[in-house]
Amino acid sequence: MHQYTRMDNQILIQKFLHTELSEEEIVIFEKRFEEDIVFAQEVEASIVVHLKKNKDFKAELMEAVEENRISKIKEFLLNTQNQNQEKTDQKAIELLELCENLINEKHPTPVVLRNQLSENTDYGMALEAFKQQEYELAIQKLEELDKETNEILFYKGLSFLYLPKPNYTLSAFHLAQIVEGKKLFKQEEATWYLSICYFHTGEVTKAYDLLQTIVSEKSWKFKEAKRVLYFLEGE
Amino acid sequence: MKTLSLKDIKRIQNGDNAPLAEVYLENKSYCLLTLRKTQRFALEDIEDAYQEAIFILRTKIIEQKFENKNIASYVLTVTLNLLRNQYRKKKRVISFNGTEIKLYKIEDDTDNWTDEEEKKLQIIQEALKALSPKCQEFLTQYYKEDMSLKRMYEISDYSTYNSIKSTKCRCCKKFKDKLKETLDQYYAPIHSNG
Repeated sequence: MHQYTRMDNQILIQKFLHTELSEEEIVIFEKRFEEDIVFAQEVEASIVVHLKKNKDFKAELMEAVEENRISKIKEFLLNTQNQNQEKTDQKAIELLELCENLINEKHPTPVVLRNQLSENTDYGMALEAFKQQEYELAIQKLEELDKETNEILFYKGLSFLYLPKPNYTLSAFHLAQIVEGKKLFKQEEATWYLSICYFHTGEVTKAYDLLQTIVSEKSWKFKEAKRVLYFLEGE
Repeated sequence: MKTLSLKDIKRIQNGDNAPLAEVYLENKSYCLLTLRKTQRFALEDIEDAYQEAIFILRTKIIEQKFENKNIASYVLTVTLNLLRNQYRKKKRVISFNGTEIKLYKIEDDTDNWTDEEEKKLQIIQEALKALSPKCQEFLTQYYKEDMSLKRMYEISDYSTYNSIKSTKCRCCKKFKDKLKETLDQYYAPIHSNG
């Protein structure tokens, strides 16, 4: 029987934690985990340490991501407006607040005639959840649907946006598929909401470009888009 | 950002997370879109795994084991591996209040079980028995026998695939509710004593 050293164990465990085990190594790992109590204890202790470090890191990472987003807006403002650093800090926060206020009013649920949709379908339940502002449930139901039409993408994107703790990346992920797609349905609305999301994900140039498109094409919410552009350009 | 600059690697090694935040933001949409389109994992699971992949990247850099390759494909591969491992395990467990309950253990060899495991098993069995026979059969097939929804649909008399998915949601919800009731009965006296 092969004798494993402490070093062998550590290498195996590290590979397991970093998901680098091959199919054969997974079999060996699982067999040893079942049969070798010392190894199993070592694995369990390593998992606990790994999870703790991982959890701490995730919190630190999210802080750094948040700082990165704000600094992207500040950088943009510094380039477009001749203002000092201190004023730009304040303006970046004000911009995010303005964006939040502009989407404060919830987008209406589509009007569906009774004979068009059964309330018992996943989509019917999702729309009802959206209407009741139960956005997590709406996401869950929309996720269970097999197809992804523009309307489904749109309400999924909005549900992520309206969560008590909005997930701007996932909202942008869905809305961008509408904006970049060929089908026109909900495209104007998606463009507006996507521009707002991009400010929050630190993609300021993309947000700026979308707002310019909305204003030049006089699309849905062009007046609001103009307001944000004025703010950005310091007029 | 295709690869990390030496300056960024040094910053990460010195505990600065800013370059990792940059990596995180730059590659997130790409990872989400690719894994969603090609593998159909749940978005929240992808997001979780993606954060863990960034953590693994940092560990590798700190331990000087990171070969500076294309960062997007590195993060994508690690995220995908994490998800695959997770889904392999997830297939047989049901999440309840943050605790994963292994339904497949119901008929496992229980000779060496601890008292706590025995108690857990008893609670699960009681909750299961309180469900309708249809839900009992469904959950047993899905979790314990590890049968896929697709396979269950093929051999069942469900009219549409959506209806079997609704049954899964309904039965899981009922099971969780029952489990909560049963757990409250078991643990209420302990909790009320402080």
